[in-house]
Formats: sequence, structure tokens, C-alpha cells
Amino acid sequence: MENKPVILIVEDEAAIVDFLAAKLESGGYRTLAAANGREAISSATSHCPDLVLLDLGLPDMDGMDVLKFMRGWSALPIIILSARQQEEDIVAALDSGADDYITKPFSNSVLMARVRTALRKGVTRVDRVNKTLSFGGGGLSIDFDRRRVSVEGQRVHLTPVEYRILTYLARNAGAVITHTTLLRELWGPYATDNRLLRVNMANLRRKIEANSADPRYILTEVGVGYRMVETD
Amino acid sequence: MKNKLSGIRLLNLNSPAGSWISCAAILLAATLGCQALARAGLAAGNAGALMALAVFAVSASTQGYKYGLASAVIGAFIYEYLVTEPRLQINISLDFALTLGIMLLISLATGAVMNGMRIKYRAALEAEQRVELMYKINDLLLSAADERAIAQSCLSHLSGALGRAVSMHFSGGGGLQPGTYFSGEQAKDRPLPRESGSDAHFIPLSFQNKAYGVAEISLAKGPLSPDELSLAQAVSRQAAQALHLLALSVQRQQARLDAEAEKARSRFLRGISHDLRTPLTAIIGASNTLLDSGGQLPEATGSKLIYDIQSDAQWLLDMVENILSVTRLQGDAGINKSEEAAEEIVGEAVARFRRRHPQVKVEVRQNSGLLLVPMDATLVSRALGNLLDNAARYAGAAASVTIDITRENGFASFTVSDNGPGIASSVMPRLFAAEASYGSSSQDAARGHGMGLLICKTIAEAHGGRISAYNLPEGGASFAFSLPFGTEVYSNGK
Repeated sequence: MENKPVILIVEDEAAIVDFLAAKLESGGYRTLAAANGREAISSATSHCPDLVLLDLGLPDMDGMDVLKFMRGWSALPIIILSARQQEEDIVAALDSGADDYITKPFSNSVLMARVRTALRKGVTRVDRVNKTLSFGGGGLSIDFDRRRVSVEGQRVHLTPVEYRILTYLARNAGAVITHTTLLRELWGPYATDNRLLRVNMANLRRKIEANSADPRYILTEVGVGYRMVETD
Repeated sequence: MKNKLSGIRLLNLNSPAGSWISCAAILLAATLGCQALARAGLAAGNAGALMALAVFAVSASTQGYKYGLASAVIGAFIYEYLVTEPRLQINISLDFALTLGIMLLISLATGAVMNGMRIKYRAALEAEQRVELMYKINDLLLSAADERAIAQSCLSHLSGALGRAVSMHFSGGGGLQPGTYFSGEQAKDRPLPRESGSDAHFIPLSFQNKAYGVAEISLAKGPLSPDELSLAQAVSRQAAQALHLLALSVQRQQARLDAEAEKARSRFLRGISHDLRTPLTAIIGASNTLLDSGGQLPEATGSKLIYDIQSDAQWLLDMVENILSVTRLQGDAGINKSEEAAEEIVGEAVARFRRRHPQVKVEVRQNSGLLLVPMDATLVSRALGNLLDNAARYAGAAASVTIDITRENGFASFTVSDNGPGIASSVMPRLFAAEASYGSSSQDAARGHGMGLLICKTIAEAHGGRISAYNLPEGGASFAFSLPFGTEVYSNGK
């Protein structure tokens, strides 16, 4: 039997579980389901899934508690399912250790892409750093060794901060990075100046994107953070 | 100051010089009179009465006792000299002593009576002034529209009447605005007249057992007299009553506003329920058909039904998102502004739109540097989404949409233009009202997209911005959604 990745779906709405399971299995994954927090915890601890899709609105416990519990003993990828217009909950979950989020209602392509990205997490990160990554069909190319960035073949000069933003996003391409995470990554744990981050992002975009308001490589998740497109 | 007692005017020559002059004049007149009487041989009883009259006149017309007593003494001597036998001689006898004594008594008695009268007059004058003051304050209070007017009406007059600094503190009871008001030229933040070591007298402002605040009267000039105290209390009662009436009218107004809001809410909900039923009917119908068909439907029909279910469900989702935006706008928390990059909001709205309408061409143009705009990102994203969806629906299959991000006069503008049929002139004036729908006769026109535009308008205005619509000369409609800047524009000099 092939070694298909196992995905644990934690969701109390049966109809949603149905179509999620159907979609994931047709995409080559195996699925488990848990309808509440207790079942989720027991399933996770006994089956050790490869990824968890966790709905924040569970009937018996706060989804955040399940998240924190799982994070307490494992770095397994966790994607939270949330409603739109609840950015505070999303950011809180991401900053508590969730890897990504999907808003309901789901777009199937988005779902599969996020699952793919999350499963790759930690697996090849080490050797990716030593390679050249390219995005957007070769439009953007980052050479980590020589610390060179080119767009459409042209060398682009970035400030140290801009380079760090770009490479951090690139190393986590496909996953969302919250504003807080970026701030900490760039300026340490006490950084709070959101405006500085926006300004640096805007400068970076002007250097690598053809149209800053219609970006190809670095996408904005309003209220949450930024997401780089997946590598080629 | 005119008052009712002004008709009675007491001859009151206050200056000492004036008093002596009138004293001398009266005595002179009396002297001449006595002389005349003596010559005429009628001096017997009349001269005495005349001199007594003179002493009375001086005592009545001068302040204090000294002028009267002086005139009594001088008058007695003149009488002795001119009238008493032997005439033109002063003999100190029992007769003279008695005359002098009686004159002095007359003077004292008159002086005492006059003093009493003066005191009563002054008291009556003060009482009349107090009544005038109460009438004046009452008039002002009747026309006072807010807490400040009430305070000012009472404070200026009360402090004027008492000659002391007065202040009023409203505690905010009864739903009124709390605040502190001072009499005279005192600035708002000047400390109360307590710090010079002198106390203040506090009078509570309460009416019908409801406390509205307290009035504070400075005792820097000494304690309050009973009259001053009763005046202050009367004014405080007036103030409390006025506050009570104001509180009642504020409550009434609030109740009216609440009732209006309730009505508007019910209207809104009715409209929504109606609008929600339409797509649901289509979804239930289409899915029922698929279920009942048992796989017998031709594939094209089946696919079409499933497609319809999809698009109606999407429409439902849009409506739900719009409703959520409305509740967010109306919530007690108000909108949550944070600084966002205009290009980021547009980028995300466009990305989301493209996933739904992959065949629509979207172009984004930005002619300014980075625009950091304070906004509620979720709401603005929703508004842009509504505008984009509208453009796609009305421009049809070959739609092409442009978004321009510009900066003008302290506003960041997002202009969404399409190449559709434009806005019918009949619909223009009510475009942003609840039941408008513009443009073509395609089946989507019947779906009442007015709510999307109404929500855009509400979101714009909640930010202090605006939205406007016009037809482009080359055809198509254009919607300009603008938000005010709170902060400076950052340009990267590129």
C-alpha cells in the first residue's frame, strides 16, 4: 500500500466533513474525521496524522485549546478553518502555532494548495535554503548562496531589510506569514511598528512587482499578513 | 436699577458737607421764622413748634445722629435767645434746660425712626431685587437648551447677586452630560476656590429625589448670611428643576431615536428575507430536480442545474457578507481603523474577484506612491468587492474593469470603471438608495443589486469618505470610492 499522507479533519458540521473528505481523498490523501475537540485530541494522539484541518468553532472546546494542546507535543502541520471577517481569531491562531488558514466557504484549489504547502513544511526546508528558488514561471529568481535576486532576468538591488523579508517569505512560500511574525523576524520580539513594515513591503513590491497593486509574487491577506506564491 | 420703591425717594445727602449745609439752611430758616413770629407777637406757642419742626427736619434729612443732635442744641440756644423773655439774652435756667432736653429727645426719636425706616427700605429693596433675579433666572432656564445654558444662566446672576465665585458640577445623572461650570471669567481648568484655605458651601442640585449635581459657593469673603443662603438655595432648586426637565427631554429624544432605529431594522430584515428567498428557491428547486431525476437528465441540463446552484449559492454568500458588514458598521464597537496600504487592499480584492470571475479582464493602475490610509480593511475590501462584482454583472461576458488608485485633496480614491452599458439616467438619483438597480435588461438586473451600492455608501461615510457614480464618455460606468487620510502620504521617491 502506498504511503498516503493522513489528514485529520476536525469539524462538527457533517456536510462540510463529507465534501472535504471527498475532495482530499480524490487528491490522493487519506482522511480521518473528528466532530469535536475531545475526539480530535484522542485521534491525533493515537493516529499521529500528517496534517490537521482544525475548525475553530467546535461545540465542546475552543479550537484554540485544541491547537495549543497539539502544539505542545508536536510540530505537525495544522491548518485552521475559519469564517471570513474574523481576522483577529485567525491571527491569534497563527501566532499560537497554526501554519495556515482557510476561510469558509472553501475554494477547492485554495484548499489543495494550502494542504500541499503545509505538508511540505519542514521536510525539505534545509536543502531549499542552499538552492535557487524561482517563482511565477521564472519571473522572480532568488539565489540564496550568492544572495542575488532577479526579476525577469534583471538583477534587482534590495536593502538588507527588503532582502530578509523576501527570503523569509520565499522559504515559507505558499504559507501565510502574519505581520507579527515578520515584525519579530526583522526587528526582534519587541517590534510593534506596523507602518515601518508596510513601507518596507511597499518598497519591496515596487522593486520586484510589475504592478504593486496587482502583485504576482507576494500576495496580501488583509488583516492577517502576507503570502508568497508557491515555488515553480 | 428701576424698582417699585423708586417712587419713594428719601432725601439722603450723604456727604458731611452737604449735611452741614442743609442743617444750617434749615436752622436759618427756622431762626428767621421765629424772629418774624416774635416781632408779630405770635411767638407764644408757635415759635417752639417751629424750632421743633426744624430739629425734626434736620434729623430726618441727614444720616446718623450727630447733625440732628447738633441742630437740637443750636436750635435750643436760638430759641432761648430770640423768643424766651427776656429776649436777646441767653439765660441758662430750668426753662432752657427743659427746652434743650425736649429738642434732643425729638432729634433722637426722629433719628431712630428714620434709621428703622432706612433699614426696612433697604431690606425691601433687596427682597425686590431677589425676586427680580429669580424671575430673570427662571426666564433664562425656560429657554435653556443644554446643560451649559442652564449652568451659565444660574451662575452669572447668582455670583453677581452674592458677589462671590460660584461653580456648578453636574454629575451626569439622568443621562445628562457631566461637567463643571464656573461663574465669571474663570477658565475651565482653574482650580475651585478652595485652595486659599477658605471653605466653600455646597448645595446639592436634586429634584424629586434625583441628584443632578452640586453647586459650590466660595466662602472666601466670609460665611453666607441667611439671606444669601436662601437666595442660593432658591437658585439651586431652579437649576435642579431645569436639569430634571432637560433630562426628561433627552430621554424622550433617545426613545424616539430608538424607535426609529427599530423600525429601520425591521424594514431591513424584511427586505433581506425576501431577497434571500429567491436564490434559495432556485437552489432547492435545482437540487430537487437533480435528485428526482435519478440520473436520467441529459448531461448538459444536469450541468446547467449544478452551475445554477453554484452561482445562486455565491450570490447568497455575497448577501451574507454584505449583511455582516452592515452589522459590523452598526455595532457598538464602531469601525476599527488601522493604517493599511491602499495597494494591498486593492490587490487582495482583485485577487479574490479574479477567483470568482476568471474571465473578466482587470487592470489596476496607481499613479501615486504608497498610500497609507486609516481604514477598516475588511469593510473597505467588501466595498471594493461589491463594486467589482457590480461591474462584472453589468458589463457582461466581455467585461473589462479598471481600478485607479489616486490621491486628491486629502482623500485616497479607488475608482472602479467598467465598459458596460453605463447607468441609466432614470436610476442615477436613487442609485445608492435601497431599491435601485441600474443598466441592462439581463436577468441579473432583477436581482436588486442596490444593496451592494448602499453598503458601499455606508462604509464610505462611516470612514468620513464618500462615493459617487458617473457615466464615462466612452461608455460604461465609473464609481469613485474615497477615504480621507489621517496621516501623511509616504512616497519612496522612485
